[in-house]
Amino acid sequence: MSRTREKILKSSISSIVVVFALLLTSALVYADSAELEQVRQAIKARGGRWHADETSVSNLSLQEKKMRLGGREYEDLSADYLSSPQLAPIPIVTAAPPTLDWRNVGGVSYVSPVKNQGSCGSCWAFAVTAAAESQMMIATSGLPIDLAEQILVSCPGGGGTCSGGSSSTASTYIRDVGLPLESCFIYTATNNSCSNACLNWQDNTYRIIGWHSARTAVDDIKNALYAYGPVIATMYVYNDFFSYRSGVYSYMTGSYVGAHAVLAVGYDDTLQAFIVKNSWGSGWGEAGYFMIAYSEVTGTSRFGYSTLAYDGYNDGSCVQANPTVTFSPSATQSVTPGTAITYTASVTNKDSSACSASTFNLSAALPSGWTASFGSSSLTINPGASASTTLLVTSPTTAAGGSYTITVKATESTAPTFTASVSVTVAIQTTPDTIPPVVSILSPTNGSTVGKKANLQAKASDNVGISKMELYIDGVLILVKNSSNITSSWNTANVSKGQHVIKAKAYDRAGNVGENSITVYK
Amino acid sequence: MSLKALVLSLVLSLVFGISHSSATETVIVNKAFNSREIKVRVGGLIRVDLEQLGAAGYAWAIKDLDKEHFEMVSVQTEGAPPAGDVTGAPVVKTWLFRATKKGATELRFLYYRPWEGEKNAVDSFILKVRIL
Repeated sequence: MSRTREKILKSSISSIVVVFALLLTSALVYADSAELEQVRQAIKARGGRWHADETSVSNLSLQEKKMRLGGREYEDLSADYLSSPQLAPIPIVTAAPPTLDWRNVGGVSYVSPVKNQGSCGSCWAFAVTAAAESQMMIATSGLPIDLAEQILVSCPGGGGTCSGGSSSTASTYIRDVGLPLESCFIYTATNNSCSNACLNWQDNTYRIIGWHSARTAVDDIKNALYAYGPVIATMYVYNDFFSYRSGVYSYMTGSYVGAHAVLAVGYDDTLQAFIVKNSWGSGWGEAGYFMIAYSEVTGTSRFGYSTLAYDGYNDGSCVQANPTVTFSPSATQSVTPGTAITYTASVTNKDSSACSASTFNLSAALPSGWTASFGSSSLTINPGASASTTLLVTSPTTAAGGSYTITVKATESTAPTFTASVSVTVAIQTTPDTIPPVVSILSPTNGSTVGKKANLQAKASDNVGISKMELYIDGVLILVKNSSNITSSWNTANVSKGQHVIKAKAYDRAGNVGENSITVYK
Repeated sequence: MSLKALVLSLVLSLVFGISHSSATETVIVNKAFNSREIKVRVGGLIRVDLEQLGAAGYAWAIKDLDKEHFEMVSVQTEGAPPAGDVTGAPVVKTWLFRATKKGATELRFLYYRPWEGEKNAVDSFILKVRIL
C-alpha cells in the first residue's frame, strides 16, 4: 500500500470513527442547551408555530416578568380512555363564537392569577381550584378570590397527593365539601396534613353546583368553554413543552414526561388554538399561559382527553337538577306470553344539598295490553340520596313473539321539568319452551379427591332464563338459589371416606329441569 | 495511530457502542443511593433511576458528566400510562452509563425546572463511583 493510499485510508477510518462517536453521543446525550437546540430544529423542520427559549426567569427583571403575559413514547396511551363512555356529557347548547378569552370578557377578567404548584404533583388540584375560582368570579362580576389548593392535597377524599390526583374526584369534593380561602391553609407544595388547616374550615367553604365531562373533541371543548366558563383539561406533557415560551404549541420532539391538568380559559379560531392557564408560575410560557393547537386534541399531547366543566357557584341556594333512573335487570329478558317479570327501579335525587327532599312520581310506558304495578309509585328522596322500588311487568297471554320496550319515568312532583327515564327490552317467545337448562359443575372436577374443605361451584344457562338452582351431595339437598350460579363450601371433616356424588339442578322459567352430576373421592 | 489500531477501534466502537454482552455487569441505583459509593469494573454499566414530576415541570439533569471515566449509553423516561383522569404522577428517568477508565469519581444530578435553571435546583443526587 502506498504511503498516500494508507494516509487516505487512515483519514477515512478516522472520520468514520469520529462520525460514529458523534452520532452515538448526539443521539444519547441531552444536555439542556443541546435539548433546546433540538427543539428549535424540530420546530423549524416541522413548521411549528411556537418559540422555544432557555431564558431563566431568574434572569428576568420584575418588569420583564410583568410584561410577559404559561425515552418512551405513548402514542396509544389514551386509546382505551378515549373510547370509554364519558360521564354526563355536556349538551351542545349553542354555536360558540369564533374567539373567547375569559381573561377579558367585556373588559372583565374571570380568571384568577397564575399560581405555582412547585415540586409537587398537584397540577390536578390547581386546575380544579382555578376552575372553581373562575365560577366564583363569574358569579360576582369578576371579584377576585383565592381558594386553598392545599385542602385537596392534604384532606381525605380531596382527590390525591403530591404524587398525583384525580380531577373528577377533586371536583366532586369541591361540590360536596367546598374549599376555604387560601389564607385558611396556605399552599406548601407538600402533602402536609389536613389538621393544619384553619379551625372549622368546613363551615366557610366555597362550592360548585356540579360538574360535567365533555367529549374529547374541539367543538365540544369550545362549547363547554362558552356555555360553562373555564374548563379543566388534561394532557400529556413531552420534553419540548418545558421549552415553550410563546406561540401556538404542538408536539415537536422529546419523550413523555407525565400527564398534566391545566385550565383552558379560551380559544381562538383564527389561530386554531386554545388559550390555557398553567400552574408552573408566571415565569413559564407567556406569563404562565400557553396556546395549544386544536390539532393536539387528537395529536400526541391528547389535549383535553379528560375535560371537566363546572355548573356554577353554589351560593347556598337550592339548585334542582334532573334525577337519574336505573333499572335492574337491564339485560333483555326472554319470557313466554303471560309471564311476569320483576324489575327494580332506582332513582337518585341530583338536587344540590341546599334543597329539601323531593318526591318523584314513577310511571311506566308499556306496549298495548301489558300491565305493570310498582311496589311504590312515588319515592321521597333527600338530595344526593337514592331510593328503589319494584315493578312487576306482565305481558298478555296473547302477546305475539318479538321484542317489546318498557320505559320507566321518574318525575319531580312539584317541578315536572326535572325528569329522567330508562328503557328495557322484553323478548316474547311464543313457541313453548321445552329446552332444559344446561348445567356445568365447575368445582370440584369429576373424579378428583377432595380435601378437608371443598369449594362447590355450578352454573347453568338456558334459552329462556334460569329461575333457580339446587345443589345436592349424595342425594341430599344442601342449597337453593334463585340464580344461574350456585356456590357452597363443603366441610368434609365428618364425611366418610370413599365415593360421593355431587349434583346440580337448574330450573328455567318454563319449568324445564336440567342437571349434572360428578363423582368425587375422599 | 496505526492502521491496525484504527480498524480495531472502529470494530470495538461498533460492537460495544451499539450493543453489549448480556454478561456485562450492571449496577442499578436509585435515589436511595444518594451520597453512597458503588464499585464497578471498567466496561461495567451503571443504571441510574430517578423519579421526576414532569407534570410539575421538573426534570433531573446530569451535572458536568465526567467524560474521562464515563460514557453515556442511553437516557429515557418511563412512566405508567395514566389511569382515567389521574394526573401529576411521577415518571422515572433512566440513564445508562459505561465505566471507561479506572479511578474514583462521581455522577452528579440536579433536579430543577429547565427554564428556571440549575441554580434554582430543589434537589440533588450524587453517586460516588470507584471504577476498578
